[in-house]
Amino acid sequence: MAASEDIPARAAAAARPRRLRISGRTLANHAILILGAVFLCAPLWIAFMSSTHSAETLYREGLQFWFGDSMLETYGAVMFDTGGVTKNTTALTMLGNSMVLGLGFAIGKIVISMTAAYAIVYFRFRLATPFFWVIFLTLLLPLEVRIVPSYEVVASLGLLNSYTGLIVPLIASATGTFFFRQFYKSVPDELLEAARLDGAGPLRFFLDILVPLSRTMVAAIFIIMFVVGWNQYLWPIIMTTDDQLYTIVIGIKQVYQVLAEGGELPQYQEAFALTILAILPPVLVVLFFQRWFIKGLLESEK
Amino acid sequence: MADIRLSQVEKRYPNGAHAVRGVCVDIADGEFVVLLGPSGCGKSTLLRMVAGLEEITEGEVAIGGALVNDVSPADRDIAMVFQNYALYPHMSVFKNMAYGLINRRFPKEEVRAKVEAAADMLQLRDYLDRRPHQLSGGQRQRVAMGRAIVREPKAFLFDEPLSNLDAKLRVHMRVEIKQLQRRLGITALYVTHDQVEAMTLADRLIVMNGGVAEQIGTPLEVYERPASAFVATFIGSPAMAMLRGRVDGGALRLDGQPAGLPSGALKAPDGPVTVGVRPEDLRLAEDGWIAGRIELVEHLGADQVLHAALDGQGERLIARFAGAESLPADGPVRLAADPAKLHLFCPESGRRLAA
Ligand SMILES: Nc1ncnc2c1ncn2[C@@H]1O[C@H](COP(=O)(O)OP(=O)(O)OP(=O)(O)O)[C@@H](O)[C@H]1O
Ligand SMILES: [Mg+2]
Repeated sequence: MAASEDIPARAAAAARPRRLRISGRTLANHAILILGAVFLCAPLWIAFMSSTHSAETLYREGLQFWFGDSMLETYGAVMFDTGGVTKNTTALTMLGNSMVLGLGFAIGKIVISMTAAYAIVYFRFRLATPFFWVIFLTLLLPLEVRIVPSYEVVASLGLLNSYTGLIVPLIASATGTFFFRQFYKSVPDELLEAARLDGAGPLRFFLDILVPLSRTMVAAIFIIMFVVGWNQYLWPIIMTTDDQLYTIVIGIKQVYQVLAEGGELPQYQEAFALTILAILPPVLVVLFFQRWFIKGLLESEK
Repeated sequence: MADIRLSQVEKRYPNGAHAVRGVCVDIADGEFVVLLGPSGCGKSTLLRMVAGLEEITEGEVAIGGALVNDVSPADRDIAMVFQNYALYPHMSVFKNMAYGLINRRFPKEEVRAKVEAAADMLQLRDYLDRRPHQLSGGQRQRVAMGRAIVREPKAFLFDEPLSNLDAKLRVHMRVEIKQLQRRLGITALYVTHDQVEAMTLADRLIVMNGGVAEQIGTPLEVYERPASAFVATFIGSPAMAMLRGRVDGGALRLDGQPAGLPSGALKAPDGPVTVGVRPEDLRLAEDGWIAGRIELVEHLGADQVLHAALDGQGERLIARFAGAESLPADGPVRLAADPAKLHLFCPESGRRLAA
């Protein structure tokens, strides 16, 4: 009896709204955060809004802060017409190239560094530790430093103007190897031993146990690497002379170069549209994988 | 199902640690053998050598009559239960148990049937879809057991499988493990440093110390005729009292003590001895030959435990009495024990003296 009387009382207590307490400190924190968000988003907003107006409006009235009426036209032209500001390619081709580069870069790096770390941590071969440090030392030699020899090698292999030449020289990754190495070292030895007793060979252990356990690591590294790959600038611009292989980042550079050189009525709206298009995929990747990433963190297995 | 034979097994780790020294033992088919010893004595090392997880420096290990020194763990057809269970965290309970069978290319239906049979035996039927982190400690322990039994291996190897459980669950699981092993009739080698666990589970005990198998025998043999002073003090709780003395023509005289046992009481050869007496073999006696001073008397309900400092020995002694007996609370005390119940050891080697 006592228990059943208890329930409504408790429900009432729960229903009573907790007093909202907003201290000056919280208010200040929020103000700073909101200001920061506005500060970061405003240029994007202006670029997006301006891209929906016609060239004439932009020329006459300057930057725009609200939707215009030529959005479909502009984006259609940028995406599908050659010979606009982007000369011989469309934004669609360039987005495709960037996608290949971003995915190839991220996936290549993950595969290479996972397998390298696997070899270093789980196989007893002499010089494993020195090898690891040699890999680690390559951090001191980023692509920018070794760009001339890299170009030589790729050129002599006849890989200029190819996806292979674009991606492969970029995928060696000391940082990725390091992160995976640290992660594998934290996996309890008993898991390996149990798997060995269960008849799993080296490949099965890697695929069935290590890879699934590294999911969250993979997601994190994928996010970072995709964005880095997508934003690659120096290597693609040196590597590619054929505009069918231009990435969107190169495309943006070309557009602004055309604008700067002057000529007829500058097509600012197309430049803005191209910028917006270039930002979208990395943003989507971050948004999509972030949820996955956090979910993985919350499950906290191992 | 198979016997396990270890002959002259040695383990030296690359860093020079000599973890196992010349262990010889024959484990019969279906026998439950417990490895018992203090921390760092090489129990896990020995077990892992049988499993194939640790290289055998010297000596031979044979399972089911076949030498397995160079056979990989997977091909030894044994199953192991680890102290921290080592369940695959990303796999369901079902997959955890099935993994070994899948790797051995069992057909799907057979895998399912075997896992379900094991799950029924361990009352895990309702948990097959869960992940290990969604289970309690005891359930995880059962999954680890399940993973071992589905394969119907030649032998079970356990490395302190119950030490992560609370006391009550430990007793419960201990009984379950024993029953399961009996029912399946599979040879088991079990590591523990808990002597109650060891005494209750074992068909035979191997007491290890510093890498050496000090004694191999049934729990009762080990308790009643400990082969060394180490085994004598390690087995039994409270621990056996160890007294220093001399045998002279069959008479015993304890160092620094007034009385002694008359000549002819002991058959040991003349010379210094260490005399072991179990707490329950001591009794109060006016003219007892063990003199000391009472330090504390503990009443445990059914029992009373008397702690005394021995005269002239610098040692302590523990004696156990029935709860009803009336004991003095302090002051000098005289105790005696039946000469037939004494354990005599050589003070240098610690080995049991024939008596
Ligand atoms: N990988 C290793 N390398 C070097 N020495 C080791 C290694 N593993 C264990 N040892 C040493 O070998 C000895 C026996 O270790 P082992 O793990 O077999 O002890 P144990 O009896 O299982 O102890 P515990 O009850 O604490 O588990 C110890 O002295 C330990 O320091
Ligand atoms: Mg151990």
